[in-house]
Amino acid sequence: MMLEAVELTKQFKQTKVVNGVNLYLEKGEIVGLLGPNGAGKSTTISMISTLIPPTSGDVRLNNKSVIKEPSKLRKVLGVVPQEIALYSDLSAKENLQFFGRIHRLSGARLQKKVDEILEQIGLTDRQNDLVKHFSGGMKRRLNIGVALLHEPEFIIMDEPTVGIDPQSRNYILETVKRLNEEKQMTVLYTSHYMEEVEFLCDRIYIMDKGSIIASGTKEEIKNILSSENTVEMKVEKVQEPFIDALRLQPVVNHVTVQDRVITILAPKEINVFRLLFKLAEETNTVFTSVEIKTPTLEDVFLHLTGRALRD
Amino acid sequence: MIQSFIKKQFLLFIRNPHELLVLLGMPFILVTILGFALGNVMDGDDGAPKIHAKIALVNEGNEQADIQRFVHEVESMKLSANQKQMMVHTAKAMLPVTTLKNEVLGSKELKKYIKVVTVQPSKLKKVRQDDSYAAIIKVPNGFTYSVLRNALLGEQQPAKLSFYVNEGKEMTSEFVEDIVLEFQQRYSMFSALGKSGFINHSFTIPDIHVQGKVETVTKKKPIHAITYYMVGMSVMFVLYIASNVGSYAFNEKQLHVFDRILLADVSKWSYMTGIFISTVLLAFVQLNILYGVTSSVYHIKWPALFSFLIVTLALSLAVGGLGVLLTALNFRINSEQVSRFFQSVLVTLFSLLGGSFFPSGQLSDFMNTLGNFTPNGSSMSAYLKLLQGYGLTEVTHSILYLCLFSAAMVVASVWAFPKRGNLS
Repeated sequence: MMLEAVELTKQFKQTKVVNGVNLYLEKGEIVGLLGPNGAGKSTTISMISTLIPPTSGDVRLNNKSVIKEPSKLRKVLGVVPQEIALYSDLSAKENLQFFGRIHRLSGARLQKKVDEILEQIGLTDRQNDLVKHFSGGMKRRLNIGVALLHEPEFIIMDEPTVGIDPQSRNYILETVKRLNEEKQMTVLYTSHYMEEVEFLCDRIYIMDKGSIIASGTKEEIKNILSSENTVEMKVEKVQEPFIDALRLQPVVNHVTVQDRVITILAPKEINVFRLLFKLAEETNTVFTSVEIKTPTLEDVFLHLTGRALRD
Repeated sequence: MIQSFIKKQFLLFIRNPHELLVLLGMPFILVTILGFALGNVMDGDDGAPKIHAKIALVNEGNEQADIQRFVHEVESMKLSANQKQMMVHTAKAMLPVTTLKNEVLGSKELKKYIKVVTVQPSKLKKVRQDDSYAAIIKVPNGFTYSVLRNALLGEQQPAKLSFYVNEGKEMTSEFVEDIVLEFQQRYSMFSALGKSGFINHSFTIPDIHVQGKVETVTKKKPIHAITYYMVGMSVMFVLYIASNVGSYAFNEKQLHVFDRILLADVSKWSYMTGIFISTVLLAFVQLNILYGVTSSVYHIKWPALFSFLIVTLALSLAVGGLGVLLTALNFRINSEQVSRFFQSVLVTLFSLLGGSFFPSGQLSDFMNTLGNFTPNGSSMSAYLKLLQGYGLTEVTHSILYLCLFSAAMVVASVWAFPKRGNLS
């Protein structure tokens, strides 16, 4: 079973928020859709899940368009929205029961499914508590649980870990992994947390300004930077003249500063150490450490877009 | 599936104490406050009706000519001089049309409530088309002559006064009708006494005493302030169900719950049907609770329970229509503003026009007509009639109007609900 987006474009008035996106999901894989806020991920997801029609392009399930007949896809698709799409004045169980019923589940089958989901998301003990009394992590778990009620073959998760504590985040990531391994569920996972995508995904699409700017397996994407090194410098104090000087060097690609850590990308064949120490001396910058690191997806993103994911 | 929407909607309402207080507690409190505070004003300290009616009196006959004709007839009869004198004297004193005009309708007591306009018979048609008249009393040609012959000679049935009522002013017109009937009854009694030989020239027509309560009149039961406000507040607060449902639905859209509903392959029509039916049921339950509690506490009896339920259902349908329209409009403009505007401005305006705060229909014909176009105003008229003892047939037009109103709102909501591309 395959779900694909072909040349998806969405234009609001004069602005193209999604521009010719192509991506596909094959059964049993976890695919990451990576991009900063405003990249067009959520709009892309809305089009793939048939919530909004594209301005042009197509969404195909097993090579058949679902734009005009969304029912076929909706039966096999679960969507976890970025927002907590739940009734806060209903309990966890009541929420699951309501959404189960609108998915045409009833009677013993519904009850069994609700119990199973509660178990899966670890909320059996709190099933009768109103959602408004839940922590952020619990709400996120229930948000995922609702999307699993009708046993979808595909699940699209739009930043399902936003704003929660690390423990809940790990729980969710483990749940996604388990769903994929045990139930062969195909997952499209969007995030701007690079480490989540690295942990979960087999393949990755990187999106920026409405377009896919890179795609492939983790290794393939990292190989984009095979010709570059990531140099990380820790300094006692960040001197602005040093940063400006770095940015003026033609051999330095991208400079980012976070606290007292300065990261640059530079071609592998060039020894930049001499240059860095010279510039440091000229600008009274004192290094506490300098190291060359293996490129991460974050570095790839930086390389491709010129900015960090969470900028 | 619709059942799930209904259950969910009820649970959301029940779990919201603030909403419950507004929808159930507030109207009950207001009924109590307004009922007691304005009770004296509404019911009237002097027990007099708060009615201002304009009545046309069309006299097709000539009272003096009729009396002269009767006197000539009596004088040519073979009767004793004493009998003739008594009859002539009585006939000259009776003046039934003058009495009706000056002493009954124009009495000091009734003058406060009734304005009598004498109209030429040629203008009767025009007056009948004039909506400002609550009633028209037509005195037929030879009326006085017939009354005298009937009362003093007992020879034929007296000519009856013709009485036209304005259906749009049923309260005031019935009030006038009551007076005229009373007037006729007094003359009938006079006639009976005449035939029995009990009357003499000193006999005068007794005053017609008028009793009344708030816009109540006639033989129908009076409406007391508490009862009035029970209806007024209930039909007002039931409108909030519509705005609340509209807001809840928009909240579902904001929270992307509506997206989830669409993704479950539920059509927007099923969703709207769910909204409509749950609003109707919520309104029906709210009205029954409000009427039930208020009636129990203040010992108000509903003479026709079945009719009451029919009117309540019709009003609930109208509220359901409003609920679904507000939802559609909120979705269309992607804002809760429509619900809020309805809640803060339109409900108050509807209530004012519909007569929830005071019998505004009495202010003018225009207000009355306008009030009856509001679902609360139309249902209020129906409820008040039922409480006065009228039957289902007398409120059929209100029921039909409410059903039509509901249908119109549903049709408007179908038009207003955004297309798929604009839903999310």
